[in-house]
Amino acid sequence: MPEIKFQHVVSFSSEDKNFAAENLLKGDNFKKWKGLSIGSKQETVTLQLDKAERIHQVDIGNESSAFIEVLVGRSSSKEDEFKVLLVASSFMNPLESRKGTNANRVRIFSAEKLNKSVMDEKWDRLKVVCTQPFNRNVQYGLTFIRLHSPPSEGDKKPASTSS
Amino acid sequence: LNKQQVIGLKHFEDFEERIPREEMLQLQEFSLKQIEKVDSDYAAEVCGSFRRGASNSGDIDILLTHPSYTSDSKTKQPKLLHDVVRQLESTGFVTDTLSLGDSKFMGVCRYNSEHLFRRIDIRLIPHDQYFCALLYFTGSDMFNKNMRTVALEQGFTLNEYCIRPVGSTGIPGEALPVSSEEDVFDYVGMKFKKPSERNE
Repeated sequence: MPEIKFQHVVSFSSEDKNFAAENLLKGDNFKKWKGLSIGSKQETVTLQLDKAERIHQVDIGNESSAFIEVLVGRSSSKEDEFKVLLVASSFMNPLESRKGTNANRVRIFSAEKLNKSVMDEKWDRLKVVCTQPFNRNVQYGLTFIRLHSPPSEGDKKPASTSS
Repeated sequence: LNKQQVIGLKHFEDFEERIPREEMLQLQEFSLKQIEKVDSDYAAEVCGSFRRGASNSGDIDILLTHPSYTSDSKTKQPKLLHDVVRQLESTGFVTDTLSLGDSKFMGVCRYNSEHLFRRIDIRLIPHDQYFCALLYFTGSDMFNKNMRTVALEQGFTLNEYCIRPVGSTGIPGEALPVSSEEDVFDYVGMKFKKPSERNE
């Protein structure tokens, strides 16, 4: 499954200068994005993809968030027209959140975990929503997020049907 | 008259009678012991107002679960319920069956010939949903309603199956892992309340 490239950061709720949202553009540098304020209700970041693509897998590395939700949209649509690709998913339970343990859990969400109708369309924007209701004394965000397009037979199909 | 109506008529007067707590404790001890005899990996609990400490009950309501059966399981496992029902019948404890499905048994039981016939329900619950079910079927209805309200205020949706975080667009998230009733209270930020403290 080819990895989908990010182009730039469209927007974010806040960022710690030492852990800027730009860090997420390269999926493998593990430099993290963290919101600036402690105890904020939610932190969001919106990334522009290189081109509109179908997304069949999402890999997420957490940074102290309790829940992470992934939405997708199109740059041609209005600001707030996003569809849920991955519903709010658990990364830390209340006890872990209070103690700060397992703050960098990694979860791989393959096709069966994603919203099927959303997965079948192409999107060029990604919005990630992080929340941490169990600990109001921590900055939180993401360590990384990686998107994968469908396996290559999907790409071959048009060519093979042309004959 | 169908079979259920015949059974209902046969025991009409008994079913009108409340079950004193003392007898509920006997029914509980006997049925849980029989369930353990079938397979010690079962977990089972008598819920309803009895679990909240009520001095008498209308019927006996048992929640049953087994670690091999989860909501991810590809198939239902009616055998887990049916084995228990068969065991309770073989001892003469369960005397009639009103209905027996894959996950719910409704019937009639009697502690011994000196006692009245009582209505008994047994529900088989997937292991990962057991504690949300236990919370729900313990009640009270008013307590459940209040707890759901608190949960919503804290950004969670709670029902008899699971607790889920509510996403930014209002869509419920994935079912959260729950391995005790305490876990559910913890998610919604409530201090744990024992069943006897859930009467309103």
